[in-house]
Amino acid sequence: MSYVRVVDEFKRYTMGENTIVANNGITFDVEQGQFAVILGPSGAGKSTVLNILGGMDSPDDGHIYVDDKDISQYSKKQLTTYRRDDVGFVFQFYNLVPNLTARENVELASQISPDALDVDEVMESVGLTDRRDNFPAQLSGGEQQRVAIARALAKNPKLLLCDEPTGALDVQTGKQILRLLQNTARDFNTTVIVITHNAQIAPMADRVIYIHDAKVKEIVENPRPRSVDEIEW
Amino acid sequence: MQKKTALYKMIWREITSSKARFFSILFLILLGVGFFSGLQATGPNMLKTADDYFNQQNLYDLHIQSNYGLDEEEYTRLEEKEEIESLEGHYSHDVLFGEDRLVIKLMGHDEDNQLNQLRVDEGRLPEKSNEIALDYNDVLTSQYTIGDEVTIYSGSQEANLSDTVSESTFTVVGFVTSPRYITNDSRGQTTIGRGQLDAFGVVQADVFTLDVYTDIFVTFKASENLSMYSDTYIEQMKDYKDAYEPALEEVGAGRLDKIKADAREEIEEGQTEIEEARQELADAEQELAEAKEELETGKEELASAEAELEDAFLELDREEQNYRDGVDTFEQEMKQAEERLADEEQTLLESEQQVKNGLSEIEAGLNQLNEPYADLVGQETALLDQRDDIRQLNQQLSEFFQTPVELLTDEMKQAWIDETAEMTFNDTSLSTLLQGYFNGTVTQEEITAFMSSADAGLTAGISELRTNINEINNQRDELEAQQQELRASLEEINAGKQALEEARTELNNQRTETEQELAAGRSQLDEGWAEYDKGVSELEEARGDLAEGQADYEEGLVTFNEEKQDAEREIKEAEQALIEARDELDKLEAPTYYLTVRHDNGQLVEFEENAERMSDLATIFPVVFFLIAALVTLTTVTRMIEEQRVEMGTLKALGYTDRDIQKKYYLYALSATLVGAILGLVLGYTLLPKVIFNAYQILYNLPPLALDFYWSFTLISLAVALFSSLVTAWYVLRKDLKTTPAILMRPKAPKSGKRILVERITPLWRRMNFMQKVTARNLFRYKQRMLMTVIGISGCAALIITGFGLKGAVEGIVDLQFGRVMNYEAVVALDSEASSDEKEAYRTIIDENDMIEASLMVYQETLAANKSGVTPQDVTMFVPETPAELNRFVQLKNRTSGEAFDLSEDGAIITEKLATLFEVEKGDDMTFTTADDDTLTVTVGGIIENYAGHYLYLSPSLYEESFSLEPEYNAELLKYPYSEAFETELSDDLSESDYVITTSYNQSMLNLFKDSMESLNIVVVVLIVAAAGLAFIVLYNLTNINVSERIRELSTIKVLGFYDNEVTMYIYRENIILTLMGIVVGGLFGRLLHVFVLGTASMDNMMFNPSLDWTSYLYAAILTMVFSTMVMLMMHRKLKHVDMIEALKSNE
Repeated sequence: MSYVRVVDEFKRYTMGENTIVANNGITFDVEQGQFAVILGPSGAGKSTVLNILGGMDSPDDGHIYVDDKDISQYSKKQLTTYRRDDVGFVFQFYNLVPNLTARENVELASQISPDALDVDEVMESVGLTDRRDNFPAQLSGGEQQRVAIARALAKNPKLLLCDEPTGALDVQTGKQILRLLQNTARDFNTTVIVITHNAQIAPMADRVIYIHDAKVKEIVENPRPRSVDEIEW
Repeated sequence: MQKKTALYKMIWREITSSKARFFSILFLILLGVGFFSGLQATGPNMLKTADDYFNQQNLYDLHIQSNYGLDEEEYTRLEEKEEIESLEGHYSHDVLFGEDRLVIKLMGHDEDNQLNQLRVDEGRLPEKSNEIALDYNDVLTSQYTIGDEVTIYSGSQEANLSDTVSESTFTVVGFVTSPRYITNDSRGQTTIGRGQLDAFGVVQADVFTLDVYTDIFVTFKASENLSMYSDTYIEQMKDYKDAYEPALEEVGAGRLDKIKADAREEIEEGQTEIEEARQELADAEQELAEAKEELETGKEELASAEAELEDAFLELDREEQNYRDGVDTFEQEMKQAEERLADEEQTLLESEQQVKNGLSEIEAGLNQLNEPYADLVGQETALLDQRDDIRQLNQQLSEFFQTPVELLTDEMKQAWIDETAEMTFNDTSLSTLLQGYFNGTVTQEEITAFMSSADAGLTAGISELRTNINEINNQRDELEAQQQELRASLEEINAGKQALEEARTELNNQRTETEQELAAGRSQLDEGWAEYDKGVSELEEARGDLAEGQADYEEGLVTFNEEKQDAEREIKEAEQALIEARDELDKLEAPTYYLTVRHDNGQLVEFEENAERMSDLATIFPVVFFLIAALVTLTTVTRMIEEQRVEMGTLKALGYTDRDIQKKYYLYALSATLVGAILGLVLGYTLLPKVIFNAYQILYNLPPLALDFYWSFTLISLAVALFSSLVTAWYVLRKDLKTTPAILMRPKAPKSGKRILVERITPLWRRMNFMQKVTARNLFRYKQRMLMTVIGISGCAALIITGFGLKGAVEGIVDLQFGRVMNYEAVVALDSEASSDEKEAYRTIIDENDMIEASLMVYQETLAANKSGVTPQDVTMFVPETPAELNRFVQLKNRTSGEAFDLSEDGAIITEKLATLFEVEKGDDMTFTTADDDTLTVTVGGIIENYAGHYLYLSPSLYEESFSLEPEYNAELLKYPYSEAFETELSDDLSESDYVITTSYNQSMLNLFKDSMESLNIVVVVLIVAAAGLAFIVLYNLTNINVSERIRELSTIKVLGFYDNEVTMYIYRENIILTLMGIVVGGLFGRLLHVFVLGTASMDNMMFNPSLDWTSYLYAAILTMVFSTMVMLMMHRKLKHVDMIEALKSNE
């Protein structure tokens, strides 16, 4: 069984009189330790999928199994626990707490997680040991994103979800981040799911899920994912 | 002019999209303006209400009373005055009422009365003379209902109720309120009962039988358009009062003459009555003396009668003795004679018996003789007969024999046989012989022989018999001789008997004679005795009569003596009274007139003070609100502008002028302020005064509050509100608008994290856990907000502290004044003109009461303390008889230094507030004025703790020195362990003493005081509600801003898996710390505010307890925490629903 299974998932939003279907029967799997990319244009509903996967939102219909647990049936509280224990998030705009140093931002996550990793080790693994006492404002975008990744990883999550992690970064920095994510999947056997509208990233993924118009268009298995350095955008 | 509808739309959207923020400003302004206008309006509203009420009820402007009542003279004099609008004479009298003997003022009511109109609360006014309408206060309404029968009693023993009123029993027909009394409890002083009126009652004016009015009420034309609390009114009334007093005194002089003349006449009458009484007494005495004399005579007569009787008795007794002796002699003699006679008789009888016996014997002898004699005679006769028979037969036989036997018939034979059957001789019967003859057996010769023998035999027998008969005859003769003899002696005896009989007869005759004589003597004696007895019984009767007379006399004497004593005492008293009356008459002064204007009524002045105090408070509290409103506006507008830099930049880039851009924010602030201010004014002018007035309604008997609108307060509060919001907006905008659009459009660099001071203190920082560190950093990250929160919360805490503090300060003084400072329980005002008997009687009451621990005579007088720039103060002077004792009754200690004073050494001691007001210190001189305009200057020897009123304690030596006369002690302080029962008992005892004028009890003053303090609770409630509002708005608004500003951060930690409560605590931990800081700061701030408020609200004659109880702080802390927690719960709900996805989507 796949580690992550999204089965016939629907999400609808009501905007005034119109009902917008954000996810229209999405179904896909991601195996454990895979580096998966969900690819699609803006508004295709990929963020919705991520939110539902990350336990920030619940589907209107369908099932989401993570490690064989159906999180679609979870209560709010259960979802919070799920986020707390099993999920790491990386956002486009980092969402660091500006009032906390890099290390403290990581601690923010590790303090509440039961299987937390050593903060300093994580900091080192993202290469920020020197910068760990700096406040976010004193860090570059890439560094900030690395703090964000460290924060996500420090929890030792089963699932690392990244929403356009390179969106706000220059190509070079973006590549560094992607490399970090790819390595994470391999080194920690963490399932990493990245959503992006940047098709260039697709070749480096183990599995690419194309979402278009609220539906899964295609799922491509990539038997030999390329290294980040091989891709250009 | 371009239309900038888009701009206005934008403003409108801004408001609707940030409701919480908008309403925070709105509500703070509302609170500030509402409080300011409301508190400001309350005072004037209260005064207006009272003024309207008094005008409506036509309350007097001037009230005139006199110790002689008010007659037509005064009335006429007043009638002349043109400035008078109306003038009415009324009747009133203080009486005891009902079973509880409440003290009530009975007031006469006439339908035509225009002044002091009563308000009927229940039922109706009296329409008949036996109806009464009662005061609508708790004392009466709790006990009586309409239809009850009530009785009134005279308040003093000397005064007869019927001298004043014609009825004493009434039916309750209604409950009314008089404008003369605006408080619910106090009805003023009186001279009867406990000295305090409990209530009033209204009866028909006709019920009063007085010749003079007791009260005259006046209203002036000038007062019509004046508020009674205006200075013009007060001065005008004072002028009238000052002018009327001499005018009335002029009338009074005339009345005095009249009164004196009347009184003299009465005294004369009294004198005559006394004379008459004395005459009556003398007459009675005279009568008694006469009666006594008569009794004496009677007694003497009785004695002589008694002596006479005694003599008579002796005589009678003697005679009786004589008589008895006579009777005895007589009886003895008689007895002797009788005995003698009896002896003789006995002898006679004995002889007689003998004789008779002899005779009987003889008789018997004779009789014995008779039988043989008779026998013998009989035998002789028989023998003779037989012989005759034989002879005859023989003859016959001879003849018969002649006849031959053969011729004889059988019949003849038989006849012979039969005839001779009995003829027997010598055993031969003739018949047999005949038979034989017939038979021829017998011959005739035989028969004739036989016949001859028989004859011979018989003749011999007869001869023998004749001898015997003779012998008997001889014997008989002998006996008959003896008999004769005996008969002679019997004759003798009978003669003796005769003689005896005669002697007896004579004796009897003699006895009868003597007896008759004796009987005559007896009856004479008896008559004497009867007469004597009659005399005795007559004497007895006379004696009884005399005793009765004596008893009557003695009874009369006792009665007389008793009555004489009474009468003499009465006469003496009457004489004394007359003397006193004469003295009094001599001393009699012209009537004193008591003129009081409305402002002399303490209740009205107190009400005014209460109203003014509200105005004082009104200036302080709103400041807090305005200040915080300004701060909140500042944060809010700052935040708004920060959030909308891009928009501002865009507008600027689009070519909108700075003014247009500013307009949005100004309009935002302005609309919040204006709406808040208008709502605040509406609520302030209506709700708050009503709430506060309702609290006062517990104390006052006034109609519902008259609301009013005041331009002054409106404009001031609007100005301050607008200033606090618009200036803040201007201040924030000024900075931002100076920058270029480009910079504005670029997101403002997020406020970077900074190391805070605490971090430098490594040991401390290391010890803190991660969350604490986060909180600490955050706290210092938003300093402005931190400051605001602390100020807001401290404002809240301060208000609550002030609220409770104020309550404590005012309530506290009651306990301090009556618990700590004044250690006596009662002050008995004494009549120094009372007689020494009355004084002694009073002394006995006090001395014999075991409960009274101590008492101290004092001289009490009210002085005035004057100094320019200071309101003149009434000062109560106490001059204790024994100054060293005073500290047992009054705590003579300085409050701050704790120094204790002794009046005997320190001479003059004044109270703290007085010293403060007049800026006097120990050792300074201070001058007082007496009622007679004498001045008294003393060197202050000590300043002591005291809270209510001003006191000057002066030693008697200093008093003497100052006034060169000894103090006339006119009051006594009593100290005893308080109990209600004892006080009632004491009050009963004291009310009987004529020496006592009134007694005032500290406990009842304390209770009265405490009741009036109840109204402070509402102030506390209002303050707490306001404080709660403030805390809510500040905390809610700031938390809201905090949340909106840190929404990404919050969303992030939510995404990171923080539970809801962890998220709330993440942000609220700061608030808790800020709240705690706010409470601490609020404590300090509250203390200042408290002191300030007390300073403002303080009264001249009252020192509030300036110490703030720790409970005030505790309550404030608890309540603030509660409010903070409530905001937290609200924020918690809000944070739960934060959409983390939305927040994380975009860049800033």
